[in-house]
Amino acid sequence: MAGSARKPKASTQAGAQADVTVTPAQSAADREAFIRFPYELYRDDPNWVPPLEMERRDFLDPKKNPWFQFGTAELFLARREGKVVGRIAGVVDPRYNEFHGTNLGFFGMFESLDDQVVARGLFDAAATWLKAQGFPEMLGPLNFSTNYECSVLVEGFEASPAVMMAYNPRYYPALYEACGFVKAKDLWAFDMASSQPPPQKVVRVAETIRQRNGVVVRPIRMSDFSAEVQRVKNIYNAAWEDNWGFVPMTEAEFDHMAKDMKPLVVPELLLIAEVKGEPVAFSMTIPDANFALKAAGGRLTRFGLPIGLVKLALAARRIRRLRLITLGIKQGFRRQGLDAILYLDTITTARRLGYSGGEISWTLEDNHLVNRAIESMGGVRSKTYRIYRRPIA
Amino acid sequence: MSDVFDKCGAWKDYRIAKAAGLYPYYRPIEASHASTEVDIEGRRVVMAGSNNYLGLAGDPRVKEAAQNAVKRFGSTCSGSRLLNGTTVLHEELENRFAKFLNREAAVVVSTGFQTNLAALSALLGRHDIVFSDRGNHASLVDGIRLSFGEERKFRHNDVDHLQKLLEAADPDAGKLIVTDGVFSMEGDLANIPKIVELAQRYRARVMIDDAHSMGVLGERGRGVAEYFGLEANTDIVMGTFSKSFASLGGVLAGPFEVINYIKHKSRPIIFSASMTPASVAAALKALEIVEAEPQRRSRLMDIAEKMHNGLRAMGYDTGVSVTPVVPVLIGDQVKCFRFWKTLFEAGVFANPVIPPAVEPGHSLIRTSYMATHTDAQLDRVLDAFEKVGRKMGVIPETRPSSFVPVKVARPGTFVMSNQATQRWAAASAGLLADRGLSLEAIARLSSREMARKLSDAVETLTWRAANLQPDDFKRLGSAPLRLWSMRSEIPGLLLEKGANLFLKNGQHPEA
Repeated sequence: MAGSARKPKASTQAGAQADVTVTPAQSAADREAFIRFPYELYRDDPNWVPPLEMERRDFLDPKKNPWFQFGTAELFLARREGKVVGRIAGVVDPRYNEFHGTNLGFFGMFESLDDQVVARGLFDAAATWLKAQGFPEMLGPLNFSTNYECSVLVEGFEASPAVMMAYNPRYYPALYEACGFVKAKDLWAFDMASSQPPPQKVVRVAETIRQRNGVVVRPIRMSDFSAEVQRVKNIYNAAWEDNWGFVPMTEAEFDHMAKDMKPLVVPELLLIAEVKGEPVAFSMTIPDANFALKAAGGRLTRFGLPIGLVKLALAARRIRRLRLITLGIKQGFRRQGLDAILYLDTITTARRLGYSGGEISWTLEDNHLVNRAIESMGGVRSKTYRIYRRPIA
Repeated sequence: MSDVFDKCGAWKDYRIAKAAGLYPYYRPIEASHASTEVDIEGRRVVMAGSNNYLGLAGDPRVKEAAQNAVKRFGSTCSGSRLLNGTTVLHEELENRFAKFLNREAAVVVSTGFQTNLAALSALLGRHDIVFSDRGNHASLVDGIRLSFGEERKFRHNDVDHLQKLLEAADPDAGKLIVTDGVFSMEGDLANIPKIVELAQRYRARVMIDDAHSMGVLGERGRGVAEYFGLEANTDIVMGTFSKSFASLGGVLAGPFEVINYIKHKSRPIIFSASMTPASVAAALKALEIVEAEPQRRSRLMDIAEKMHNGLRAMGYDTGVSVTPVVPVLIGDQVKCFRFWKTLFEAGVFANPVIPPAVEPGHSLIRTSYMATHTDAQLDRVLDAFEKVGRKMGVIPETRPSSFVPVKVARPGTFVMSNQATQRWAAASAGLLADRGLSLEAIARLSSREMARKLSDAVETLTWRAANLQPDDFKRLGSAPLRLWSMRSEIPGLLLEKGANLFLKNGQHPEA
């Protein structure tokens, strides 16, 4: 009886979106398909850096990723004729809205074929899910906040992304805009070569400040890692509080991040600036592990053999580029040239360790102070990323 | 040639549960202490698994009324309502319930289950279509099977799905939407406002099974329709006496013509002996108390809030419930039995709910509370849950730093359900089923799939090994110690895995 009732219904389902279905990915098999989809999508893209499958699984596992202690995400898969053609996550970050006094829903993890029907279906699914929770507007992509990978690459597709930076096909910005998204904010990345010594003028100015203010810059003490993490955490959460899009990390998130980063860290490039013994600024530069990750191809093992692991380890020794991820100064110590000192020391150390250069990313397009400082050091804009927003109808 | 008895011999779940010492059903209660505590197997335990929501089953006034009725009319009516089985008490109960529920008429039936059979089998004709929530009680499901109507099931509380089904149905057919008011296992409410709206748009009638909400929800205790302020828009309500009304039987209330028709046409009523005088008198007295003592309802809601939040604070998942039905998610069915048994030994009687009452992988311990439970008793329940949950690894060793407090359905709040956690939502949709090992599943794997599974396992192990932290090494070092401290749990765990393996293997495909 039920079967005969359903049949005519299927045939009446006409319209443009009839062939694409978007459903929540809840079963284990669906989540696996969600994680696997990018490996399919980017198969022929030489610049894509496949993340480790296991790292992605842990990231989406509420038991493993401390972000889920406060946030919620619903994963959706778009399918056509049973084949996965896109994915998206609806994201709710109550801490963000509390911190900024906003009422924004997020989305993230968006991947799609170059097909507006698919993209629209995905965005609408996330919008419907967010609407049910009372959000009038959505912002993204954020996976799942600005403390992690976020935004769409809109300029600078020629090279692989730096470690922990987003990457996507060229057609994404057009897809977003065709689906009614408008720019919320651009993020910039700068390229900095360390083959040349830094400009003499900058060195002189920095030395003067160092002397006058009693600034001591020292590398992180790995023997005292957990106490150092605590110091950095204090600066981090105090330094970014006025920034667009920033949300302070919880203790658990920060510790988790520190744990993940620890194997990448080159202690000499993790600098803490102290004024009269008080840590007031820090900068973190890490080797661009994407070079090594790319060699592994997303897996540590193949056919049960640690092929990826070996490739990863071998490639890791040949990393010649860096990424300066964060540079933060506590309120009250800004505009004193501390940033210049940190940049300078980073470049000097990088040269000494034999790195050829790196990326400074990302900065807000309207953070003129920082952007100007980077350019005065010799940084050249290399990539533009964009965060979009769209009202939820 | 097959024998109809073959299936009985082949059914082995009972034998496995019995052999494992985990069989939880048909437990005889030896004594009751004001209903809130009972003696079972010589052990005095807190009753946290009864539907005696207002605690009236043990009320002296109710007991006395039942005794007086026996003295006046004897122990039974020995016949059908239609013929010799109606007493003045039956008539009084019907009149009082019609008045209480603001309806033209009411009919009382011998059991709640029969009440639904009676209504649906009589009302649904050959050309009628009934729209039924997938989570509806078995009596509604069977009532529909007994009728000649055509059934369309909508996904649990999914009003969009309901709308699609209504849209697709023949506009000329008679339509009835039937739903539980409070869903008995998960404790969430039906979306009556939306259902009523859809019913008006598609000219359908609405019937609500208020078994778990009559006496409990709404300012006056008239159930979900009163709670949502939509009594005028719901056509028929059904209630039972075995829950808040301290008795046995059911009531159906609605327009006079409809009730009268059912009274004369419904076989579950006319071919069944009527409610016993004692049951009728108990229900009458209970109704009087329900009307006179609203504080019982507010106490019950306080208790619901306390228990939900108490359990959530420990790390339990109590799902979507907004009522004194407090389900506790366990997941695996054998684990659920083990949990139930350990909980019983810790002094709490609750109910294990396993498939087919819930989806596979969504097994839960269903607790429910009475307005007469004392705070001390409730704290004992919470303590037992904390102890047992930690021992069995259902909750973490230390309380989580925060939890989402529950919303309960107090009058005027209009809440329908709490936000489900991801795990609850997935379990409730049946997505967490069958994650364990099954020999058959392994045998069915092709060599390629097998190779992939193995290679994935190696990948996972490599990843975990590559990610080991100093703390993890310490933990690994202390593994033997932990194993030793858990030694009492090991037989239980092995039993669980073993029983699951037995249950999964050699099951008939149609089972």
